[in-house]
Amino acid sequence: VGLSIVERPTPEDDAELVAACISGDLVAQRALFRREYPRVNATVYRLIGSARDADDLVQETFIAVFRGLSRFRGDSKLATWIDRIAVRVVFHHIRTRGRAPLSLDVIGDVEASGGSTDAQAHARDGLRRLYGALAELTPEARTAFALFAIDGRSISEVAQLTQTSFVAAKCRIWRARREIMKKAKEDPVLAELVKPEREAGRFTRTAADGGGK
Amino acid sequence: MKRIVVDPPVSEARRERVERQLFQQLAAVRVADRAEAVIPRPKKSRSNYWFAFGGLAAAALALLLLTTRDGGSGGQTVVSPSRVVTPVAGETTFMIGRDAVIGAKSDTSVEWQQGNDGSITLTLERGAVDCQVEPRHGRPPFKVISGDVTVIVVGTRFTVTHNPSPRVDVAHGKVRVEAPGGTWFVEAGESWTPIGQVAAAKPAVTAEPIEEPVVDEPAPEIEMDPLQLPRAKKPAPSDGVDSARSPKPEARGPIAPPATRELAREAYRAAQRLENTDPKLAAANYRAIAHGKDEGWAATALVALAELSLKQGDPAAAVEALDEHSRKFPRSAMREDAAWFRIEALRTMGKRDEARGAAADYLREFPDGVYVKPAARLVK
Repeated sequence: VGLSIVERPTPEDDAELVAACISGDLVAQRALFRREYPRVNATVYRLIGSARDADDLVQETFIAVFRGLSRFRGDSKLATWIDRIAVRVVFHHIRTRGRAPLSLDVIGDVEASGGSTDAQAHARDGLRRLYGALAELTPEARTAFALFAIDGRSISEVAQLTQTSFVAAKCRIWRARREIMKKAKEDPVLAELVKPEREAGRFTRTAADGGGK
Repeated sequence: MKRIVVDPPVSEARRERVERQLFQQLAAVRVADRAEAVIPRPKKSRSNYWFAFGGLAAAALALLLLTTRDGGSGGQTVVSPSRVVTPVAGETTFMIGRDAVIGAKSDTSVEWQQGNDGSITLTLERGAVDCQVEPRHGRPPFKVISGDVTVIVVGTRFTVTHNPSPRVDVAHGKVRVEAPGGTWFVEAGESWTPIGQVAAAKPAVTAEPIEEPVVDEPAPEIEMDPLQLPRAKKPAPSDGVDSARSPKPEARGPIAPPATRELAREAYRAAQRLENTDPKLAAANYRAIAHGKDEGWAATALVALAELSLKQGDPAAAVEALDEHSRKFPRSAMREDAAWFRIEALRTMGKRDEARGAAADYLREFPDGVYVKPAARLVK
């Protein structure tokens, strides 16, 4: 009797994938990880600003995801549910660590897209200062601001991911922005990084977010 | 503000390393879940490849121990030091020596150790444990530690819950609870939490040595009503605010305002943790903190209460809390945020005229404020 190895197709539908993961299917679990890793890694890295911490937190996030997958009810998209866990993990990390000084590897390996070595060093310096300023904010304000201004989420998404109201998310972002802008007044490198985008900044475009609330 | 571009480092090698370590950890966790008991505490370093193998070996050892030891009544006997981990929706019961039966509830991690003097210490890292412990007459001390709260057994059956904040429920007998801010006795039928401790338990006037159990000795009581029954302190009046609107705690007795700054801080943190699991209790806790002596935490708690009320779809309660905030703390550091928050709450309620008026007030009071632009747009 001849034996042949047939590669099992990985489910593409979220519900199928989740069911397969819950049943202990390692192929499905790895498929889910590989599919979600780039986005989770980017979000976690942008929230925390340190590649080393990001790797640990991404792992922690996926452990929580796989352990809690049986509780996923499908009320939201799987990606949103995973992002919410990632944000919670990072938030807990920030809160536990407190306002500790930044480690040296923060933004150490930013790869500026093109540009000279000087430009890359300048970009790194700016981001290091930004994360230094973020480290002085409350965990709530820092998380909301980083999700909005760095990860490019809308205010509605920030509210959803931080499990708070739209107004509270907006207030937190404003509060953080105010502090960052205060710092930027005394720091030209930071100022260059966070300077307002003309008059109608992204933050003021709230109608699409339901800002008419 | 323009979007700040931060490109995450992209590297296949990094992804592979994370993936490898993740699935090693998951394998170890799965085995630990099956075994329910893992003896050595694994190191937290995620970069250590030996972690997974250590976990597997520990789980195998634990399984071996559990299958070779005499179970006794109510569960397996485990040796010190041990860590017992239960999976979600799984429970287990184990014995410590001959005089303690411990029930570890779902998703619990508890470690126990025996001191040189025979004393037993359980450290609850998450979840909850039910403890049936013989009275400590002449027996070595028995303690349960949950965060910065220590429960010292006098002779009793009780439950200690770690999440979202430490909680002690006593079924029989009596325990002593030591926490930042004081020491309390908790007797049968009573509960203790960092916030509601006065309502639940009686403060101990003096600390007692563990070696001198006080099973038959009545705990000192500081407040007695005319019928000589212990009564909890009632919260301070809410300064005319309609308290019926505010969520009330469950039937656990009234929540007393925290007496010290330390307790207020602990209470605030506990309330934050409760927001997702028990928002009514969280709101009640914020209100209790708002009536506490520490003005800083009281002001912060009112703003947090407003945020929570809005999140719960009750903007009217948010406005009330913010009004109370501005009335009681006119110089609060959060008054600008509170003022803007109130405007948003009024808009959510559909009171556009009032919101516009409040925005005009805001512009007068904070001409250089951070919310000037949206406030000006609202006034127009």
